[in-house]
Amino acid sequence: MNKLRSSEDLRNLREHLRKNQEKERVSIVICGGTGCETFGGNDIYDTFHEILKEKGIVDTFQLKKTGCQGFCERGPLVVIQPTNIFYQKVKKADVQKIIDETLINKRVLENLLYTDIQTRKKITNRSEIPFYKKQLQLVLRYNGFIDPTSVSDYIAMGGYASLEKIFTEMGPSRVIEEITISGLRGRGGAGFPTGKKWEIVRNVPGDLKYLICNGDEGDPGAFMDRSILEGNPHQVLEGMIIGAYAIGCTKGYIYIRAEYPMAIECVQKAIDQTREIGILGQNILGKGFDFDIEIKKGAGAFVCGEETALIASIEGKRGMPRAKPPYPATSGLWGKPTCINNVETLANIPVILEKGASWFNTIGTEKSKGTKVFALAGNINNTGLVEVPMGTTLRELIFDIGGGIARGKKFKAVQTGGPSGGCIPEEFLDTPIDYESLQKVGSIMGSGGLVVVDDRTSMVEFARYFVNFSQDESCGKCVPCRIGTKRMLDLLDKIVSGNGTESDLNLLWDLGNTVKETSLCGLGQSAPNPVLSTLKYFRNEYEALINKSSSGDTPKEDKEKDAC
Amino acid sequence: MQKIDDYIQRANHTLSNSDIIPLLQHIQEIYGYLPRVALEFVSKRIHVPVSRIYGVATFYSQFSFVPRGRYTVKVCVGTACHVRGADKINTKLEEVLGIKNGETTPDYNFTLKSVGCVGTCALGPIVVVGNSKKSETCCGGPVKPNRNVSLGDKFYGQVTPEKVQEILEPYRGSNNE
Repeated sequence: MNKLRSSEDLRNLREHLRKNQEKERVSIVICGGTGCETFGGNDIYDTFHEILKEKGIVDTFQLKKTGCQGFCERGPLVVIQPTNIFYQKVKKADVQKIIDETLINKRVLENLLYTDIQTRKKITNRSEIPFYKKQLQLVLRYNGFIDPTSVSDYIAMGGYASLEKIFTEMGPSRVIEEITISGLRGRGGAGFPTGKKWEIVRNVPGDLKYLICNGDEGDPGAFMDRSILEGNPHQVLEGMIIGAYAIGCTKGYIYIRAEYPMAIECVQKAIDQTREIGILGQNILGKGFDFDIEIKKGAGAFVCGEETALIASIEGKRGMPRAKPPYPATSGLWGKPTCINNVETLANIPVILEKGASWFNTIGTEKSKGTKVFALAGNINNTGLVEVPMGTTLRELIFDIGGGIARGKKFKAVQTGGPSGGCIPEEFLDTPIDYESLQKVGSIMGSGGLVVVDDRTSMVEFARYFVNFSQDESCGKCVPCRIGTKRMLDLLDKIVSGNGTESDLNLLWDLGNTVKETSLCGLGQSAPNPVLSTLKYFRNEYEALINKSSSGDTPKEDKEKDAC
Repeated sequence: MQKIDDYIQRANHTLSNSDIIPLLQHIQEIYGYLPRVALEFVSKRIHVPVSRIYGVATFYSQFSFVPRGRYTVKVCVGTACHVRGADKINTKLEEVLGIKNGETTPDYNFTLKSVGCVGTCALGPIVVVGNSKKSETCCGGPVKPNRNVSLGDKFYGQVTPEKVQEILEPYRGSNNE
């Protein structure tokens, strides 16, 4: 592809690509997300290619591999476009049938369709499936439609149009104004207004500033950022370039966990492609604006998701957080003003600028605008990746979209926000999902992990699991977190093994609150949440363990699995 | 050391503190772990005290200071896998391999390790098997490539204790040669 030297070049390229697409043939879209790949999605792709080639009709159809389509539980997924026929749990042996029956004879294969859990009816069209029907996809809008390794696909869908718009119709201050009006808040969990953050960094004097995209998604049970980076990396890059333009910076980093090799590969490819066509690098689209992005691989430390720790890690130090202020906005990477945004936050930017802040403003609740991507996991029927408007209730998310609890068990609790969040019991299932409401019930929005547990799970053991995780990941810099989490773990061990007393529960409560109030960074400040919330809502389970020990029952053997 | 030196040469700027982590990752890709001599070599080449390099390396869980098996078997113990019974999978793996989590089999074929969330929560419990190092050389000589398995990580979803044996089978090939 030639280098694009102006907005007009980009528009012409898009026109050209679209014209080609109009002639487009029927496409076979295969989900290439890690979930489907685990079930053999790659094999399905290869088999399709082989058979189509054998039959000499490989050019009649378009074979495409996309990023995560969300419905991982049902993988591997194959969707036939434009009719939107949705086949699930496709096996290698089914490929021949799909080609003969559906592609050539235009007949739908009933046995590969999704069966609605409630009505037991087969559903043909992807958008009719309850899992997809109730979603509103802005960030994930092209996941499942475009090939993440092709910049042409993204441009043809209208990608990089917002970038074009900011150069021709808006200036940096208008961009910031628009994002501020939209009400977008940080999707990493804390919910700081994005427009405000950009404005602060923009107003700090200095000619060298940095923009960092935080893709260190360390929360166990969360895979939103990974799916975005793997499914549509260009939308994140576009958000970054726009952000850089708005705050006036020339160098950006994407920090991605080393545990996500596929995401790293996808993003690297996207960076190379955009550099090649002149959307990234020097003199972007001939507008005299320079910006380049480099990937930094994480090395396995949960605390590096905290912004100051992340900066330390990029600087090649031990990833330990430091006291704030000064905030990174004034003194960040190598002491320079630095803006750190989460992957999902940045992926929202092109959508907002394309559709307008006032449109974005109509979605969501009063204080939380837009949508949120969630990773549904645990003992739930439809596990996978979903995007819903803010204000959707937990019940809708778990029972309507998630299809309820697996294997006919009973719902017990939902844990949001990973090890930093709390466990929410059934009585609060009608809580609307927004930053404030979740905080009110003792949890947090977090980055979007949502783990559902059924009545077989012991909540005390569950809380112990999280404290064990936080304790293990504590960097050890500040005392409350280093020693506090360890003591909390000791107490929980004691209770779980059946040796706890009533006063241990009070001590655990006090200790939890102290750690929460006195820790240096977000890790310690939120590590007690799982304990405090379970103590509040599931105290009976703690008491049952204690009563058991005082009534002289033999203490329950504790497994030594977490001894390491 | 030649490979590390090449890497340092290839960088188009003078390597400094901020390049330590990528360098360590590169060394681990070559050797499968961080040999002491390699760290000392790097220290001299980029003029950073070895104590500092060691300090950084010990902080991150990705790095290992002892040789690992040819394949690393990772059991995900993230929340979603945890509630779906990851501990049973771990116990079974320990039993089948005859080692404890964190250890390496005496023939250096497998290292068993539990890892934090790998982000495929929808399909838990997850086991990931992959080559510990990228290059197929070991102890100075080339290792016969195992044709049964591809390089890179392979994910296994919805693992049950019964499936463990079946998952490990393809990776055992090189032992019998």
